[in-house]
Amino acid sequence: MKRPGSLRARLLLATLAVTLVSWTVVAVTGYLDTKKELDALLDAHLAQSASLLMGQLEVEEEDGEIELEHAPPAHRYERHLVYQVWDRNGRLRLRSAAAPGVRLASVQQGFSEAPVGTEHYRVYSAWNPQARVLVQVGERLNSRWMVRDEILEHLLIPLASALPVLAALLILAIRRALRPLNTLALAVAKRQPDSLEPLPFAGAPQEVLPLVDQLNGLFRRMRLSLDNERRFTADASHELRTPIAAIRAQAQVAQGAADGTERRTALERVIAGCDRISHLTGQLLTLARLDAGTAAAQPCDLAEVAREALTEAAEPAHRKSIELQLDGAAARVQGNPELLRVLLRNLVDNAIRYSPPRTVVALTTGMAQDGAWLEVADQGPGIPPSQRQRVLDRFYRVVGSGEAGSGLGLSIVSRIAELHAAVLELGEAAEGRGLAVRLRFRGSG
Amino acid sequence: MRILLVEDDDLLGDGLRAGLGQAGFTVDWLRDGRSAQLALEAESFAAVVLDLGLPRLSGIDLLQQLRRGKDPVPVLILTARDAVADRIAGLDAGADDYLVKPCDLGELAARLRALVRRSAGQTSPVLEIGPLQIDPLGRAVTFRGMPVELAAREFDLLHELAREPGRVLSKDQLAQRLYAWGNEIESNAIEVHIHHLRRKLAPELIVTLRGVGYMLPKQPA
Repeated sequence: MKRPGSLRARLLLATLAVTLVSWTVVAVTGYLDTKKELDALLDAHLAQSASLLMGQLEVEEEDGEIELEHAPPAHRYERHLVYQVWDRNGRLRLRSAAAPGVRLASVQQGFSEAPVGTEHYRVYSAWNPQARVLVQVGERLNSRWMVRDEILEHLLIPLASALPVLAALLILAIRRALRPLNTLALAVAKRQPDSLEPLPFAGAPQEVLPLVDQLNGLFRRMRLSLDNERRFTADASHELRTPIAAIRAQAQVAQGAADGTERRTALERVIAGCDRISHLTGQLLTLARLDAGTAAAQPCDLAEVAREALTEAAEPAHRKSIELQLDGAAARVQGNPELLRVLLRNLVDNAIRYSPPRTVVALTTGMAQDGAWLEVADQGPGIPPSQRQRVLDRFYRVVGSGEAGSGLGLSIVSRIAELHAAVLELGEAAEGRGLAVRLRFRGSG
Repeated sequence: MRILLVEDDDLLGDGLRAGLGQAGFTVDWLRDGRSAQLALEAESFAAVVLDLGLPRLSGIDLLQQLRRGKDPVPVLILTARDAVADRIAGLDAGADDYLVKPCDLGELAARLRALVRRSAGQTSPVLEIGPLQIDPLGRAVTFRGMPVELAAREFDLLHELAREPGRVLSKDQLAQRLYAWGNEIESNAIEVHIHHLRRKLAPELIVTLRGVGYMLPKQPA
């Protein structure tokens, strides 16, 4: 009610306006109908009076004015009725007490209206052929107007007095009808900021159900993403603690070392631990940035990106005597070259990491009918089919792989593929040996 | 004291083995739960340092199976899982102590010594058997009030005998407790160490039971 934007005020105003308009229409048509009926009734009455008067006029008198004695008015409208009887010579032979001396109407027959002196009359005129007299019965229009006004008053007074009562009742009814909304608002307001429990459905009216439904859907999605985030944070802290513990242990070993060789070995391992944790932190940051949103796309060639990725991987591959091969046919895609390089770098890094020395890591790009594709194949142990989905999970590592990866590489690859709407497939490399990771892009750049 | 370290992380396992070695422990290091289970069935350890997230058999499962088999070996869980619920679950599964990574090597060693001490029913950190006093922390031995210089293996051997005074330990048992796998043991190594101990302390201190083993009497002569 207080705020103009409130539903309650809008409902109340609309209801009152509709009521007022319809009531007015009813009143006006009622008034017009009544007026018509009243006119007809009073006209009939005039005509009837005229014919009654006519029946009494049996004897025609030649001369003299006949004064008829009048009974006192029996009804308050009666004194507004007058009559005159004129003979054929135009002499007034008979008139009621209140009737004027001049003719009420110039017509000989039927209804007419005319001013006589200061008054307006509605007159019925009738010619009596036997008595050869003209009878005119008139009624002051004033009186008709009075009746009309009274009827109008009777129609309008209830309207004026009922409207406030109606408004009050409407306010109560609307407040009652909107109570579920208030309850819902209160339920939302009373929630703890971190509570994502669904709102209760019970008692919600049909109109509010979609809102409750949507809210609960929103809460559910928020809870899911919050759970994901919590799990990720827990996993990340777990994954960071182990290398830190290793660095600390190795540093203490260096501290307590009895000879220089032992100290040097321990310090080398401290550095290895630092490298590992910086790699892990880098991967975590990459993943966090990827989670933050989408990347601008531009036309780029997968073969070109693959060439760059292989250049970067040359050094670690050389250390393990792994041969890198590129079969790079042009494969144009609409994508983000920076992200695609991160993707390829991770795939090639993984391949080198898990391959035995003196094997081949092969990178192939090309165009199929439905779009560009790339493949990274190694001659390592591969991934058993049962674990191919799970390796995409963050921090998941294949048991017994014996490698200290971050467990994030394939998660990053999967996320970048997702951002490019590319399909990621893990399978067996040629001759059923090693892992082949295939990415199929839709459409071309 | 021979400790079994079960840790799947290469760098951390290596650091812990070296660090605990510096603290005077003999450390055997395994990287998965299944191998640890087999090792515990076959040999005896003074204590176990157990990671929880292990390949093949999780630390908690290993611990539960160990306790179900009535193995009383003291177990210290060393894990990155720091949640209170995890600590409770670990201790309730039968662990004797729970330490969160990263931890101080000195604290880890002290806790292991405490675990071993308690499992042997001792109250004082310094062992006292008659005129003999053994301080495992300082790795120092006092005999009749005089400090005695012992080589590392000699100390370990004396310590093992002193942990269970009055009990006869065979040469094999002693060798198992003193040497980690992969260490070459000469066939007469134990005899040589016993010989040195007798010379440095007193010939009658350690009793030989021919064909059975050696014993440090509760009330040495």
